[in-house]
Amino acid sequence: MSEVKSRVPDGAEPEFVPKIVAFCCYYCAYSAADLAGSLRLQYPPTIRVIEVPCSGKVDPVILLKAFEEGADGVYVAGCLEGDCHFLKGNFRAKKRVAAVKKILDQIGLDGRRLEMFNLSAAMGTRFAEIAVEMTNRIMELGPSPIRPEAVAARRAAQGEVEPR
Amino acid sequence: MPDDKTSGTVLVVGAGIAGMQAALDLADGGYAVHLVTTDPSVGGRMTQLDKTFPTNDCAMCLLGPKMTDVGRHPNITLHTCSSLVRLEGEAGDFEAVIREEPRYVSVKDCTACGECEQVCPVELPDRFNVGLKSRKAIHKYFPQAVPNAYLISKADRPPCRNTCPAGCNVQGYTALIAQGRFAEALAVARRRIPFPGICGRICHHPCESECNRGDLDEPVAIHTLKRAAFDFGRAEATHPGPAPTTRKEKVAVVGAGPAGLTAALDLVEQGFEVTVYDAEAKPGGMLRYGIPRYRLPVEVVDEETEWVLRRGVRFVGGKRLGEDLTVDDLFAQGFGAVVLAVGVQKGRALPLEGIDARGVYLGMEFLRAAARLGTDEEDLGRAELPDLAGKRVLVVGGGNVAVDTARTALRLGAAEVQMVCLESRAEMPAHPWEVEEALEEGVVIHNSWGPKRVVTRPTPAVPCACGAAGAAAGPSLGEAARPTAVGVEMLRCVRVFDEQGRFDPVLEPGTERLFCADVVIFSVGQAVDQGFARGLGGVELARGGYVVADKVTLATARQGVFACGDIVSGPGSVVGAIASGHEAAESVRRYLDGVDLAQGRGLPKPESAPTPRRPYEVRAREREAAADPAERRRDFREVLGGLTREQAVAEARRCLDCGDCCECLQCVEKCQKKAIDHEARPREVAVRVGAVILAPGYELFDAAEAGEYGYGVYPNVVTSMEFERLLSSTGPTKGHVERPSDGRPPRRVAFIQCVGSRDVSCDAEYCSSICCMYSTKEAIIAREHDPDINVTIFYLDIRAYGKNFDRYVESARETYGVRFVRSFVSGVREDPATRNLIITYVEGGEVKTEEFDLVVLAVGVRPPWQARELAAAAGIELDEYGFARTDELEPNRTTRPGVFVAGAFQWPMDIPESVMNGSAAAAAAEHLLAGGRGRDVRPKVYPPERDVSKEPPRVGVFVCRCGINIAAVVDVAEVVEYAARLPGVVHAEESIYTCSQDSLKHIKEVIAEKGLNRLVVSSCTIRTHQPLFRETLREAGLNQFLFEMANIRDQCSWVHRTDERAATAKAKDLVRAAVAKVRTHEALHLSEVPVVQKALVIGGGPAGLTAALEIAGMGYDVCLVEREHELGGNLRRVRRTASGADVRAFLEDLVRRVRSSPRVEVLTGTVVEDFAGHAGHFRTTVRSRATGGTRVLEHGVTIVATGARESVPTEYLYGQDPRVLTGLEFEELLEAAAEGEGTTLHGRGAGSGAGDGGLPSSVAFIQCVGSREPGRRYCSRTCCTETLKNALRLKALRPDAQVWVLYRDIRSYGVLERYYRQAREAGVIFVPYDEKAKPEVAVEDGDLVVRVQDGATGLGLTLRPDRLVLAAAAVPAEGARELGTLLKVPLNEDGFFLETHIKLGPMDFPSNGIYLCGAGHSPKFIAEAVYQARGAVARAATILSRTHMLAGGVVARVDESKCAACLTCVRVCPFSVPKINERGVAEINPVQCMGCGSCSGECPARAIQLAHYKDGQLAAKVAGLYAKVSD
Repeated sequence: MSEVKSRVPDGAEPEFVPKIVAFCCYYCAYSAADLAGSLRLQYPPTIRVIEVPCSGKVDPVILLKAFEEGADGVYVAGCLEGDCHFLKGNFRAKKRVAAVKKILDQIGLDGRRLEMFNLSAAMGTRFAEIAVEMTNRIMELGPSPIRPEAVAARRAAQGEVEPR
Repeated sequence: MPDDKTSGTVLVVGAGIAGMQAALDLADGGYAVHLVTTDPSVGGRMTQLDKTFPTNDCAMCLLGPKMTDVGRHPNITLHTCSSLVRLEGEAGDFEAVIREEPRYVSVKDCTACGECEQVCPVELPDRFNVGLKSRKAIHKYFPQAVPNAYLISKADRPPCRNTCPAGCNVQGYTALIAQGRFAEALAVARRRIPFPGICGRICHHPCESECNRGDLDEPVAIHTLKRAAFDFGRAEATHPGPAPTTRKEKVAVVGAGPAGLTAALDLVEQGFEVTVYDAEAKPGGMLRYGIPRYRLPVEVVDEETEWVLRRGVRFVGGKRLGEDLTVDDLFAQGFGAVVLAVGVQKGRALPLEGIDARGVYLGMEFLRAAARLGTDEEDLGRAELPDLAGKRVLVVGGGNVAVDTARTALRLGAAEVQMVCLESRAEMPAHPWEVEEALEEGVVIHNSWGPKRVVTRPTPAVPCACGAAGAAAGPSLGEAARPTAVGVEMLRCVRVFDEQGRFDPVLEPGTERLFCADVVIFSVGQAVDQGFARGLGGVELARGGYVVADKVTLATARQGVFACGDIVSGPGSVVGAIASGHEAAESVRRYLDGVDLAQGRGLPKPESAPTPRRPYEVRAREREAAADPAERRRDFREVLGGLTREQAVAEARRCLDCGDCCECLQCVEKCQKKAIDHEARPREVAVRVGAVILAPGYELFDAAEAGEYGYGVYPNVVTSMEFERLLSSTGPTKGHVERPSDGRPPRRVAFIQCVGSRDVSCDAEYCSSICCMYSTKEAIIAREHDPDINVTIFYLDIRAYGKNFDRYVESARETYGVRFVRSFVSGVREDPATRNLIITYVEGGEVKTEEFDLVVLAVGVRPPWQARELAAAAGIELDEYGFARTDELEPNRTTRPGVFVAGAFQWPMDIPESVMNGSAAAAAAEHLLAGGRGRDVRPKVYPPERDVSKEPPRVGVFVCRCGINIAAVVDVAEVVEYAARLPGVVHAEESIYTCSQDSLKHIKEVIAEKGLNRLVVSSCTIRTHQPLFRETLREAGLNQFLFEMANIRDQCSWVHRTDERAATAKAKDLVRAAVAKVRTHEALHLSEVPVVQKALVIGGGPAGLTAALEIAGMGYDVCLVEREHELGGNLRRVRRTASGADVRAFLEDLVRRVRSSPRVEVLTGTVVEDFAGHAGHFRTTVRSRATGGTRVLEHGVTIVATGARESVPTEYLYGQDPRVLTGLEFEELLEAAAEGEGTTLHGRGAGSGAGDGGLPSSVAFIQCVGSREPGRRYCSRTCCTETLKNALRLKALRPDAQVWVLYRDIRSYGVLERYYRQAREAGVIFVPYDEKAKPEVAVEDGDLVVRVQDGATGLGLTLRPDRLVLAAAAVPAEGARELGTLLKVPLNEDGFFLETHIKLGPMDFPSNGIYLCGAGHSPKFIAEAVYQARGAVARAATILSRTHMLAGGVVARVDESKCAACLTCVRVCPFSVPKINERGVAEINPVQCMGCGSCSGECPARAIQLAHYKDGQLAAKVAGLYAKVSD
């Protein structure tokens, strides 16, 4: 088991702080995140959780959208295989993640920026470990090449969610 | 519709899986439920499990949602830490009394932030982790507990605190010292002892002799620890300042000794204005003027009295009662009450000859004068003291004052100090340790002498240079005529106390001896200074001048005057004076409040807590250093040095925490919600209920009772539950399997089965039903965690009798390499060097030994611990094993009508059985209370919903501080300020606890005031709090879906504690994303779909018949469809149960009741031909097999009860030789013979040797014929017991008959084990065989010959039985597969119906509204079919009981214009919901959609959108996360 670090890098202020989106199934990973919290497990503040009713809901478009919006890494966290609340959603997610990884490789983004994890609601420690694993991986891969400020600027121009 | 009298409320006792299931079914079916559990959380045993068999599902994942459902169901009232204590009345109308034990933490207010736990100093074994880990006294039972709230463990009061006259919280300060928190410890000690530094030095500590630790090694050094609290805590202790005066009354206290100051302090803290008067110039009384400095430094007295005065006590010195003031004066000055605490100040003078001589002193006065030395009263002291330099001093007396006098005399320069006293050494009233110290310092003690007279000589007129006495200071020159003492003449004291123990010394005449001395000091007691009597006015005095006061209230004869301390009780201890001061203060308060003085006081002390049963390490107490006697005897330096800081911590750790919680109240200070109340008391609640369901679960066998396995002695012998916790990721080792002795991962692990099961010597004749499977599971999980672990399971029979169990065991054996050894283990020994364990067992007739690193005992199931009390309270009978007594064919009914049982309290059972059973009990209660449905539940009325679809988003953001849980890490103000600037946000604010009632009210007001139409709460988790906030929206007239949460606690402040900047930035991101998403939210409406309140039951066996009857009993119409022409199914061929119950009569009764019920329509000879519709409204086409006519039935629910049948064997000459029968055929033969009807049946009974009324003289049974074989890899469950039944029946009818049973495992699980024992006792011979060496059957010379290799001995046997009976497999009923296809419900590979979840959904299908029961689910006994049928009805009733179902909400919808009818959704949907409609496009019925979104994720045209998680909504959230912010 890898060490759960309390901060991303040791020592000086990091120049690069990864932005990672985690699509978490309500029934397992979201609950595991809660458990990690109540156990006060410390993991890097790089992860932003988006709750979904089932990992099977996550489709390739939203995965790509996350990268487009500036994420450096994305993962989907579903139930242990065989434990899906909706029977097979996590297998669907697994397939889709595999497919999008290929797309990322093809477009030069590196499929390793995307991952599928399986864990149960009781695995708070595992949740924290995944956060560390993904953060370390993205640290190694560096910032996403399509994280240009221009994207943000374009969004701002369209007046989406920018503060006044 | 409810009728006008039946109750609509049910009491469920036990909140394990059975109790929760019953409660949820009832609550969903329109009943109010009181759910009572002795635990602090719902969930029961299952919460402790890591995984469940046979699917290896995570137990908590399965259970969590169910627990949450129970916790927030509006119809369920939860009573945790509670038990049923009385049940009066009768079925339909009970009054139940529930006793709720206090949790000490309000469930309503607790936010489970856990701050309290951080400061709690008491560590206790964690029950949830079976003691493998510790937890705090204030704790949450386990992380996912429901209710999500803390509680405190308290035992009785510890003996130390109970013994202390002042009630000092010893355990409290000890626990804090153990953590090095001396200042906090000092504050705790100060609560009842205003002078901990003083008491820590001079208290006589009666507490220590009561300390439970004294029974183990030595008592904790309680009093020295109190000193340590003061010595090391004083520097950090902050004085709270003067207590605010809140009362107008003034109180006067006369006497500033420990009693008076304590009373004054208490009263000041109550808000009174208090003045203390004292004759001396300084406060402290005896503490200052009676106790020598070498025992109590004056600085300590100064500091501690000053502490009291600084609380606002006004001190007036130099005022002597009777001289300078009177009680009348005090009342005249406006004091409302007076406390007399003047003490006993004078030494007692004996009426002896020569007592007035020069050189004779009294000890009290001597000590008082000595105490003035070294202070600013030095001159006063010097004036009163004799010059002792070089003198011989004789001290008369044996008490503490005498010892103090003697040692003080030494320190004042006496050349020699002798003590003489009446008592022997042992009888001396002085504390032995003080006597010891005096002896060390050189004091000589003469025991058993009583004074006769003081011997004197005339005093020289002129002081002479040589005479010692003449030089003595003291008497003035005017008294020169007085003679001078030269010694005391003493007599031998032969007896001090009389027979009654009263002080009555007898001195023997003629034993005179002169003890010479220059100075004689009498220390033989204390006397009241009578002068104060002049100032009393109406206060009654007793002999000796003591004040007469009520023993309890300390009230004197004069109104408003109270007395405390020595002046009431006579000279006593400091701690006694303090106790008395507290009591006087309490009386004054009551007097001034005008309430009864005595009420509730003076009661005998409760029993102290016993020694806790916890592991401890034998260790001697820490001892404080003492100054060298040779040095210390010459000055007043303090003799005892106290403990060092390290010693104090080590000593405090010896405390056993007898009281559990130490009541240090650190948690109270920490809790910002003020949720903690240490004074909470148990309360009894009476509720009216119509029915009661008992589901208290089970207990595990205490492995220490099976001594041969070394549990509790060898650390590496653990129980299965301990091993389960070791496997669990929430367990003590986070799922790493470690040996308790050294923490190393074990390589060789042995499981020993049947520990406390199938063992008459352990009072458990029965099989515990679950252990074979849980051991197999633990073996598999252990191998999954660590492939280097090799597991061996020692077993007698592997009882894998449930659905898919055999396959599971097989996978353990084959995939995971678990080794199974059929052997009885005779003992376990430990190798003391390695702590490995050596197991002795017998295999193949040979004794073997084998070494293991870890041994797991598969402990059996016991009745629940509260079974007896519960049975008595509920008025039910228990069976011989201690489980609830039930009827074999009425498994949920107890001996008291209206009281039902569910789960393992009935008999040992696994999780799915408990679920079925829980539902069944619910159905039984619903049947009984059919007329009360809906009576006691009130649907909530909400204001009409505001249509906001045309409004631009107006978002309100509420950011929660969660006390300091969020605010300590995240800059909440910054987040609020940021949120306020986000687009669409019109309001943002923070709150301390957003979930508190006042905050919710405020949110509603803001919604109205600012016209909000969207809400974001930025706080904790949607799992626990989203329902609450959505409810608030509904109450405010907004659609509940116009809401979004940002979890900035669990996902932010709690997990990024060390990086406040990053946490604040992340919190902003999460809020921004939530705002972005909520802006896109739309109102979602649940629409009402009418329910056809009728049921269809398919199958007319015992399950189907029971189901139909239950539904009719609940008041709904039901149609029962059976493909055969007769009802009864397979049961028609069964005559008796194993216990002998008449199955035919049971079946006939069932059929008669079904046939005669006006609500049941029976269609026999009918099959299902088509099936359409959805939950609430199905349309089923049935066809008569006889006429071919069809009919369409409309119904709201469907129950599948198609059953099973006996297979036709193809082996062992079945069908070729008439003497070879199946089990059912043999039963028919036996019953026919018993009834004298001859032997033939289907022509098979006849044959050679069949004499004696047609009964065979010898029979061989072969088990597992067609079961547990390739192609049919399951156990048929009932055949072992059927064989036992038939064998026993034959033995009863024909005792000389020879019976062999050839078996693989005898699976007489649970209480059925008794038939196995009876069969062995009746002489039935059991021969195990291996699957690979099956018996061979042939006909030789006309005889049936069976050859088999005995698996136990390896010997070959040849049997020549009259009859051979084959235990033929149970197989699914005809037509089941076709029915499955029609209903679109799945079957498993064996052809049995596959439920939605093997553990928690054993009666549900994935498609809503279709339920399953009976042997069509898997082979089972009648009772099991009956309760599963009832359970299926309870599940069905959750729909059947409603006129409308709500559909919609978070469901998928198809945009028909985009749909290409590609069928992807049809293929993807796990519940087969999407259909292609008449317009040729996909349609998803909102009633059936489960809302997982799988289809929308896969739809290539993006035609399907899942409401609330639409593409645009999720995209907005993702975009919101990383939108660039311009400040």
